[in-house]
Amino acid sequence: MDKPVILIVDDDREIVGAIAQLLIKEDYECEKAYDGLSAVEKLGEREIHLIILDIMMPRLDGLSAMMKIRQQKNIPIILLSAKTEDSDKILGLSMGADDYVTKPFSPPELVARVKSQLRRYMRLGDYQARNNSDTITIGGLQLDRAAKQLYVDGEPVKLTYTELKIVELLMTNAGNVFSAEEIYERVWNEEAYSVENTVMVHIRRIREKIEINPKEPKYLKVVWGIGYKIEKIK
Amino acid sequence: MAIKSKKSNERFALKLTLFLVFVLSVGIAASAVFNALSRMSNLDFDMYDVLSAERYVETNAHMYEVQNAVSNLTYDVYQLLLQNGIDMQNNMYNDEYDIFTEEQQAVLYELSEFEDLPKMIEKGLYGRYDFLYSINIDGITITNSENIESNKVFYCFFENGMRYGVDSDEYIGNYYYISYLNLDNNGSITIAYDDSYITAKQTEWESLRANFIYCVVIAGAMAVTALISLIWYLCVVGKCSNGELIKPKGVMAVPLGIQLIILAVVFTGLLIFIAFLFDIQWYLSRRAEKLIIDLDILSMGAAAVSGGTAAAVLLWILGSWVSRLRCKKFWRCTLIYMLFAKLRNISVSVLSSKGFAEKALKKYFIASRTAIFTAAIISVMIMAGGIRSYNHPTAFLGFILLVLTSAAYICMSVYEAKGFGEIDRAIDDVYNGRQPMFGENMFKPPFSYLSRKLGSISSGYMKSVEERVKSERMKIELVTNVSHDLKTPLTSIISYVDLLGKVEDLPPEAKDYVAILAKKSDRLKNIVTDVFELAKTTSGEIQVEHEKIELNKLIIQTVADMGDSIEKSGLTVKTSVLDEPVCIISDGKKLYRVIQNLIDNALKYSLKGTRIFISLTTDDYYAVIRVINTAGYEMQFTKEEILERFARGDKARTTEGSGLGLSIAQGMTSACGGIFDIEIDGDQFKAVMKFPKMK
Repeated sequence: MDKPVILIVDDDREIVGAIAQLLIKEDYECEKAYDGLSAVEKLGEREIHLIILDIMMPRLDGLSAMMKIRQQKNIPIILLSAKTEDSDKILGLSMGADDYVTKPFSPPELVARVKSQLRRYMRLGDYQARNNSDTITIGGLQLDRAAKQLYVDGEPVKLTYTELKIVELLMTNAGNVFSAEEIYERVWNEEAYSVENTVMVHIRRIREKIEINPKEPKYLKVVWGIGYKIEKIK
Repeated sequence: MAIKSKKSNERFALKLTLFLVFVLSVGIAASAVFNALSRMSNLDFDMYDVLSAERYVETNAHMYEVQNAVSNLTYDVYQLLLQNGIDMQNNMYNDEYDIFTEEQQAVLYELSEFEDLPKMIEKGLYGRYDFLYSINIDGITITNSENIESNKVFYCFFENGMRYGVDSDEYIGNYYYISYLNLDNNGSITIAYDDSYITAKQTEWESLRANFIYCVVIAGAMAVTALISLIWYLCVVGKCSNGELIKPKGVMAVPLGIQLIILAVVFTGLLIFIAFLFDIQWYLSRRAEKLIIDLDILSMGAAAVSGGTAAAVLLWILGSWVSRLRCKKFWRCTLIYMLFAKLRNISVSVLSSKGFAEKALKKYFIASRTAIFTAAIISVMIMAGGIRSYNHPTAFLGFILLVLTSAAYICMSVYEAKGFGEIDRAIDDVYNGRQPMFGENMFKPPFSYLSRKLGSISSGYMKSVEERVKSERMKIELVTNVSHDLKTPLTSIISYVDLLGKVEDLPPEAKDYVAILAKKSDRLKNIVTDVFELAKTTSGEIQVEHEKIELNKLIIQTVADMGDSIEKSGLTVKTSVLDEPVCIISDGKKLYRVIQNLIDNALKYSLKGTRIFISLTTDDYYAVIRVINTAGYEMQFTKEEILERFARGDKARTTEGSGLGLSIAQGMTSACGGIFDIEIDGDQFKAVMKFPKMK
């Protein structure tokens, strides 16, 4: 198979250069564009597998460019922005972005996110193959209940029995918030007493395994002062 | 010295002396005139006769006495006849010449023959007679003296239809009661006085006349004195000895209108006093007993006091007018001028608005109270006057006025209470930082002055608050922009440092340098993020999502979440939370950040091997979270200093961290509805957060 082609769009040439270098080291092919319009043009010229797109750019800003691209293609788009507000993230994601990375980013994290998106995009066929009734899919998370196996962006992840039970509970009830007591009673099958700490430690471990950046979890979220949940994502 | 000489220049003593002389002389003159007048009423004749007549019998007083005597006599005789069945009135219309019937003539005769007739008459309605009389009707004579015509002073009436006066044919008047006796054609009345009576009368009359003349002379003399002192006073008033004019002030500057009011009040008072005095005099004079004080002396004293008072008031007003005219300041001292001057002052004061409210309020209160009080007094006076004049309708008028005055006072009090209430509310509004609500009464005097001031205070206050908010917002905008602009180059730095770290054939020292670069750029990234976050929390732009959270859970979750860094630091974190859930309404995500910040802080600055305590307690109103750690260095700062942005525990700034942790914690806590505080106790550093408990 050909190397995946990644289009990097930012008005800051140094940043584009740095990201390109990072990705080339990871054995990707890179295309560069410095504004929204030329990014859309580049997209017409050759096949692109993933776009890293800055939001604030001259000529055509990132969000408008993304809307144009989405009219034609379904490729993963990672937004890259100095805007760190939750509202900015929500806006970007709801307008069609697959991920949102804030500047200044840490290079390994960016690489990890690119990999994750590409895996999902390239192995779309595998997803469908595994997609039977006993499988729950939430975003990049896929739980095969029969095999007792969790896949993150198609990659199998090793979880302990308890961890798997917690993930199963939260995934089957995606979007619902569970308190530590509820989780304990349903996973351990024992009466809960002072279990907050125990549950939280497990949650932390799971997060470290399934999240790219455990400090900014995408799937397994702590609802502070209330409980835990797995976000409902298409 | 200058002041003293100026005082003496004003010739105060002279003016006072002249004033007193005038007042005294008018008082004495009034007393003398009053006495003369009462003598005159005693003498009962006109001025000319008093001075020209030499004998009592020539005076009108004597004539009146005679007239009274005839009237009384005829009336008595008529009554007597009536009691005996003879009605002379009816006989008047009898056509026959001989008016009496036989029977009546017999009665008349019997009466004339009756020895005690004079005594019977004496017992009649009008008491004793000092004179001799003889009545002749139809040839029958009724008399108290046989030889009446031999007396010296002799009067004869209606003899054969003619009337005669003293020693002559002089017409001496018409006597009403004579018609009772219908004596026109066939009767006569003769009256005579004996010498001793006339002599006694003459003596009394002469003494009265002497008294009268004496009083007139005194009154004249006093009038002259008064006139001289008046002219002299008016000449010197308002001037210094050297002819310089004195500006009217004090009592001399009382406005014209008020002077007139005082004049009216004094004269009304005096009239009431005099009327009352006459009443008393009339009442006392009818009493037989001798009084302790001679009635005349009492009356004279009262007249003197009244005259003196009236004179004093008049002279005061006159003198002040003269001195005003002299200074050409007459108009200045009138109420109308003062009113206009006040209006002008008010407009000037409003423009300059300096110390005005106080003055205006003072004037309002003094004026309103004085007006009400005066109205009440006048009403009472009118009412009392009406009652005194035998319940005259004016008593009712006075009562109505009094009621109206009371009603006005109540209305005024209500109005003032309303106004003050509104001002009070407006002050509360300003105190609470709101735009004050101005009630309708606040635009009316006297509150409008206060309202205007309050309005300017409030608008000034609002303006300063607005400016502060604006400048704060501009500062935050600046920080946001700067942090944004920092992020772009920082991204490049981090990326290239990372790339540099991946270059394999670097010399070992270069690898060290790259490691340092990576570490420092990472720290720079954290600082930029923190600055941005702080800017958000302090600007109030931060969005807080309120929900019900359990603090116990939150603390345990946070501590567990930070398990890694706690383990790494080698410190122990002890949590003590309550068993029962402590719930508050706040933003869990932000509170997590706060507690995380505080624990990070504690981990960074704690003494190695010590414990960090996190406790959750409650009191009646608050849930209190405490993060307590033992500092690894001496804390030489106050809590105010440490809460300052960019402040760090160690002033040398050798440790990691942006120095914004506590500021962010504070900003976020207050954004989440809590109170953030720091206590420093020796080496103990305590961060305290209080949140209102959910019921």
